Amino acid sequence: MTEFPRSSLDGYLSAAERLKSEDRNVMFTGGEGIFTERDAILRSVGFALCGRTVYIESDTDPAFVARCFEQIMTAAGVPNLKVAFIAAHDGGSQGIAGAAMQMNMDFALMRAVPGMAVLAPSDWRSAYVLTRAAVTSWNGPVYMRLSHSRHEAVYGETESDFGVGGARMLSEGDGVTICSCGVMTVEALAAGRALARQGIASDIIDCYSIKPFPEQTLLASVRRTGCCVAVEKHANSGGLFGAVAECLCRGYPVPARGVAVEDRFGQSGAEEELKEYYGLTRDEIVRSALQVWAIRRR
Amino acid sequence: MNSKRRGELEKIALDVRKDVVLMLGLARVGGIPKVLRVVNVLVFLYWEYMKVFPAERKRDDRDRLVMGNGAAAPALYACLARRGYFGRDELWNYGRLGAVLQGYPDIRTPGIDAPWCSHGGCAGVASAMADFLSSQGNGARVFCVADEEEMRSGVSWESVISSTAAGCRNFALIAESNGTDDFMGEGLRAFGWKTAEARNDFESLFEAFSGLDFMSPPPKAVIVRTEDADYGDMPLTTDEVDNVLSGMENETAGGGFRV
Repeated sequence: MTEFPRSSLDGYLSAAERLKSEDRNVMFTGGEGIFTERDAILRSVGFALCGRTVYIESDTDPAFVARCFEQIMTAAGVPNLKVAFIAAHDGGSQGIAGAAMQMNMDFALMRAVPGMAVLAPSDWRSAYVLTRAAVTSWNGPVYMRLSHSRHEAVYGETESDFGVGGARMLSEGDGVTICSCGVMTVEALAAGRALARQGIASDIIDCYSIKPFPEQTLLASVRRTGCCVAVEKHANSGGLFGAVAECLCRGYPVPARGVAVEDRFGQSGAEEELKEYYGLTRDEIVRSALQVWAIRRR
Repeated sequence: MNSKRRGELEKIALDVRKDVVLMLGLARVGGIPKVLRVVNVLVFLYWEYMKVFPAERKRDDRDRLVMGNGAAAPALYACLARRGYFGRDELWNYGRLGAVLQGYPDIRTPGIDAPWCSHGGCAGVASAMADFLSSQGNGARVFCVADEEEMRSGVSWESVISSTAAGCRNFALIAESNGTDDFMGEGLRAFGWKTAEARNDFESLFEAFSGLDFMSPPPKAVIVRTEDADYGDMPLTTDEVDNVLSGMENETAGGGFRV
């Protein structure tokens, strides 16, 4: 475990530093200086067409995937190029900026692009490993959303078993399945501990790969638990809860709830206040878990 | 350019135009003038100016062409087929389900160097390719063919600014204009580009391209002034296809076909 708390963004930046020195085939570019975001994406595509793997970083907010959706779709998506789109944070740290800067629809937008992998690592270590895995274990464009939030580590310093399409079982139990991604994984773990005190053991799955979705991991879990909660810092449609619900409907329908932002835009406020206001808290996860547990499939 | 070579290019351009009319007739799509307008430019590039190797189409030092004018893709396909990138039979399946030739350029098609990146997107892709090639010490040049519609899109000007700033040297934009205002030339020069003008004939294209210096910045643009042939914008019926084809033959016999 780390001595000081670090964010998933820190993990990405460390991995990027290393890749820059080790791999000449990899390029990093960003939408700053003379390059606008749209132009930076087009330029990345130009480099990718010459055989390079390109990471394009947005240090502003995940809304760049909405501003540049047409370029991402036609220039990188249709030709299935190795371009990784990195959103440095989830919009929450822009709390004061309000609705226009709090982009809670990025997973939904990116999931809809055919061939696009969507990743949301939950801590420093998983972000560090996934930064490289995103392009070595996936042949096509990738969207990865990071976070500025510094929190305790979910994984040990030497863990390396992360790949596109994978998931990690963080705790096992037969009471309720909790799927989480990104910064909400820490909250899910805390909720799991609270549920354990009430006698409900939970399967906590870190679904850092929202697309391709780890269907078998989830199905194996809900066959034991019979109910599911999906936790994400995203709108409740089209993101992790969307992926979970689609998977359950296809494979093994059980009662499920999403702990996510209801059908509303953001607003100004401090990050912690906003999480409370929109119900992205461990208490809310516990409440939802108890609700689905009560009506679980037996 | 000597008159023999000019005659050869004109003959090729006529054949390409006939292919275009036939393929668009079979595909029952309109917009023929838009496609025919770029034929001379493409024939000039593929047969006279660009260094291309159809037998080794992935060769590293080949010049690249990025087609920004996506709607004129049939003209590019007809050129690539005649240049030997794929069989001419493919042309007659243009735009059909499962065809090699998609409505707009797609990198899965042999000879296509870049996908169509929506309106205004191709200048950025092309200039980045050029930057990358020159940073690798590769002498290849990159050409981007665009039209006014493409250049009216804001994102293309973002790329114009960034390619000037990046000191792009081995990149030329060929902007086709059939309007009267010179917003492209004025805009490009304002952002530090070097521009040349040409009429839509081989003599004039040769002259404009001869003056381009690809060894040093800034990025370059050739603005080609075109006029529309009188075909309307609607899909052609079978009879109309026959009429247009025989019209092309007659006009050539009468000395020069203008688009």
